[in-house]
Amino acid sequence: MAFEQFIPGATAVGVTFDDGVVLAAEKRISLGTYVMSKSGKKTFKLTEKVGAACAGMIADMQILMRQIEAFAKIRKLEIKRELPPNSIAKMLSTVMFERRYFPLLTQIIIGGINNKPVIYTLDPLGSILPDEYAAVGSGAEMAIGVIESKYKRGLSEEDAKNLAIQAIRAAIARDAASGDGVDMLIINKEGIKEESIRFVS
Amino acid sequence: MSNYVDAHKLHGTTTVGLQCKDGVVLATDNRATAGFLYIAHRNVKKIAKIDNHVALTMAGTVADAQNMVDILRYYANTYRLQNKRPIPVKSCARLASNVFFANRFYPYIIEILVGGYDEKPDLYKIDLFGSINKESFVSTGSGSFVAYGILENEFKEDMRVDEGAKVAARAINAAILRNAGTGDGIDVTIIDANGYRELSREEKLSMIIK
Repeated sequence: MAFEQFIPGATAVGVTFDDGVVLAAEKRISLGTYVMSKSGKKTFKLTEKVGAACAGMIADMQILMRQIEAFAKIRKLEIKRELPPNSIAKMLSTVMFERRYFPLLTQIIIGGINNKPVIYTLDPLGSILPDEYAAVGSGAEMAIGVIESKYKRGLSEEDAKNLAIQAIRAAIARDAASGDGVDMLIINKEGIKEESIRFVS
Repeated sequence: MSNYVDAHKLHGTTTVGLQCKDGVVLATDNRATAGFLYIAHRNVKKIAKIDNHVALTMAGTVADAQNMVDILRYYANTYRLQNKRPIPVKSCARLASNVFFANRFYPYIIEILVGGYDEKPDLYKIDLFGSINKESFVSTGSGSFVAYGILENEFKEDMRVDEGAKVAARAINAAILRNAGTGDGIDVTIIDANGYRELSREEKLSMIIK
């Protein structure tokens, strides 16, 4: 059975800048060649200061994000302080690796600030890799090409946002599984701002 | 579904381990690939410190390798607390082997080198089913064939670690040039009587320029 065909494609990117992180993902949910939704949401607020952008099976990412959100709340009550993004990433990794035999079909970018802005990429089995910028999903090849050619250290928030949008646009142009708009999380010391752009066709 | 996981899980590597006269040298590249040669990450640390006198290199599935590191760190710390001395390198290798064999029917898809220093240098290769092999020089990963070409010619049993580090760095460099699954940078670590030390960028550069 060509099960893969029914795992939605997607593009999600993360870019660190001067004093924060931009996470972005496009809005299309497709089932094979059928566009099932043009208003999917693949960016998630996990805590007041840590966010995520995902690609892959929608159900798996939604359940996983709700689960981690709950774990993070409980852990915050236990330790009486905000959880740093590396702890959230490790929590995710643990939950994902527990399902090593029947993996959650999703790739995730976690972003936040721990002294300096950081992002972590997780594969379906739960590996954690830190980076300054990243792209995941079926449009990752196109998106990472754009980010890699334009990225430099110490971008402003506006520049980082534009770079993320540009990367997603490039992916949308050449990946049929991506499209319809961009959701963004802009994370800085104050907290998380959400923005959304719709591409009308 | 396993196809989806195969296409998205991270893997690919060359690692090298050398047992020298006064210590052990571990070296790896920095590339992670996903699916067929898509470069998913260009700055991966594939040498993991288990304790101040022992480390491992990873080749294979990154998630499995990171989990193995977590397990070995846990046992190394527990050992240190219970026995009031650091875990012997050989015990660390045996532990890894036991973890592998316990998962015999759904293996961790990794090949690791465990190297360290306890009174003497010690180096082991452990495969995904749990076999342990003591080695004086060894390489794993997709670029290991290329690396062996250098190692077979240049490795000597009575080398010091500074000479060994040079051979290791050159072996990884050769693999980067001739193996597409390997690339993006070199990590070199020396473990000797002074403990665990990662070489700086300048030290590494001076080693691969002839």
